[in-house]
Formats: sequence, structure tokens, C-alpha cells
Amino acid sequence: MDNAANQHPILYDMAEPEPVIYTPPNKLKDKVTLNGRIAGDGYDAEALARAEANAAALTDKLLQEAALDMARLEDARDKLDRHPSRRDEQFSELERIAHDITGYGTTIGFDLLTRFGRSLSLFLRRTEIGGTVKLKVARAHIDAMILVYRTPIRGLGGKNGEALTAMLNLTIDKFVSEP
Amino acid sequence: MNFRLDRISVLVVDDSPHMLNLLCDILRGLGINTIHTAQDAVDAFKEIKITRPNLVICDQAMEPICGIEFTRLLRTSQDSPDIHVPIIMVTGYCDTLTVLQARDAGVNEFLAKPISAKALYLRLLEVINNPRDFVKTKSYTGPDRQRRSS
Repeated sequence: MDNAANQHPILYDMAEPEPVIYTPPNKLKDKVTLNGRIAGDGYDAEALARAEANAAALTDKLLQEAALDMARLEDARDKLDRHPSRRDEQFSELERIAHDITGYGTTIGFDLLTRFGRSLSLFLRRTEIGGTVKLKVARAHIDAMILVYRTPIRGLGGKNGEALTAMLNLTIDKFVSEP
Repeated sequence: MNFRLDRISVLVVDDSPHMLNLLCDILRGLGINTIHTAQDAVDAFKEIKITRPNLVICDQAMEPICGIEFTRLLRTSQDSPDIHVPIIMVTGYCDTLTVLQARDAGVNEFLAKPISAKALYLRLLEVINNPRDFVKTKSYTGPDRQRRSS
């Protein structure tokens, strides 16, 4: 184990064992060499442009994955209806799919998939919410996400996107407030 | 001056293969050649022991050990291969509680999804340019949680 805490100056009272503040070895900066091109803080527009191009090249692959995930969402929705005894397991699977979609939605131009995917993930993590309410809310999210993908509603979708978001929020509020 | 990043090594930990690919491709674009990957915290621990990366980028919502717990283990475990390695945490959950938990576990930087090349690059530069002192108390081990401008 690294014991650099014992090798660096301790700035607080030695009689008091804590807190200890020290400067650890900067292994990262030690390995960063300098091109010597532009004065500044290391910001390299060319490197960033390459990185952005690489990210863009993944878009096609992610679009294919989105098609698969939409099918997975539909499958998960069907399973929720068919196998109520395995609902917790299905909610976990649904959260995983929603988590994935959240990650890449905006990257492929479907910001609403990221928004709704995040909303679904967060909702499914709420332990105080019962399974029946989660089921209804999960269905509403899945329907909304499939609608966004199939229409398709790109970006935030303008007025249609706002209306869809508002409708989903109203639906969530309604189900959550049901006795 | 521009930094050349080709000598640093990075471990990327994410249970989503898509996000793993995206993060690795962005890092390669930035000029980082040595990139290791792991899809869960246990594998990540093994990778760190073997490869000794200079930076760890990890997802927050992983199973069975989440990124926050992984960070805490890395900072405090007696078996930790490197308690000081800088950690950039990637997350789709930007609520205050998650951010505070990540900070209190010892994360250096926080990166919200969706990931952009620019956002990741800026976090990376922040870790390089403005390294923080380390703090050890009974309840916390990690970078100083009070940011100071350099």
C-alpha cells in the first residue's frame, strides 16, 4: 500500500492524528510531455477535434444498438405483464437498459431518449415506490421512448418534445399520487 | 503549451460496452495510447494492480459494486494498489446526493452523461493542471474536497 501520507509534510498539529494533508506524487503530470506549440493550459484543439471525430464515428454503431434496445424495451414491457412474480428482476433489467440508453441517447441525436431513460432509471431506483406504481410508470416511459425513436423525434423535439415530456410527467404524478 | 498525452495510461471502468467504446475512442482521439478496460469493480481492482494506470475513469452505476463504493475501496482499502490515482466519475445521475456521495468517496472529477469529447478533455486537463492535495481523516481519504484555484 502507498504510504505517501507518512512521507510528505503534515500541515496540522502532529499531536492530533487527523486530519493529515499532503501532496501525493503527481504521476499523471510527470508523464505529460509538452509539444511546445501553444501557450496555455494544455488545451489542444486538434486533439479535441480528433476525439470528437472518433465519438461521431461511433454514432452509426450506437444507432444500431438503439434499434436493439427498443426491441429489448418492448420485450421487457411484455414480460412485466406476463410474469408478475418476477417483477423485481424485470425492473432491474429495465433499469439496466434505460441506463444504457441514457448514456448514448444524446450522442445519436435522441436527447429525449436520454431524458426519459434517466427518468426511468431514477424512478426504478426509488425504493419507497410500490411495484404496481412502478409497473404503470415503467410502461409509460417505455411507450414514450418507443414513440420518440419510431417517429422519430430528434433532439429535444421542439413543441412535440415538450408536450410529450409534460404528458409523461403528468402521468407519473397521477400514478404516484394514486392511493 | 499543449500536453502530449501519449505516455499516460488510463483505466476505463464501465459495465456498458457502448459507453466503454465511446470513452476509449475519445481517449484515443486525445492521443492516449495505453487504455485498459474493466467492466466491473472487481476486475478494475485487478487491472490497477497489474497495469498501474495514471488515471481511472469509472462509471457510477455499476453492479455489483457501484462506482462510488469502488472509489471508497480504492481510497481506503489496505489492499488498494494505488490510493492516490486520480478518478473521474461518469454518471447519468446528477442529483445532489449522488454528487456528494461521489465527492465524499474520494472522486477527483465528476462527468455527467451524455459524454462529450470536450467535457472529458476538460476534466482530464483539470486533473493534470490542478492536482489537489490529499486529505486523510478517520472518515475520509481522498483529494481535498475544497477546490482551490491554481
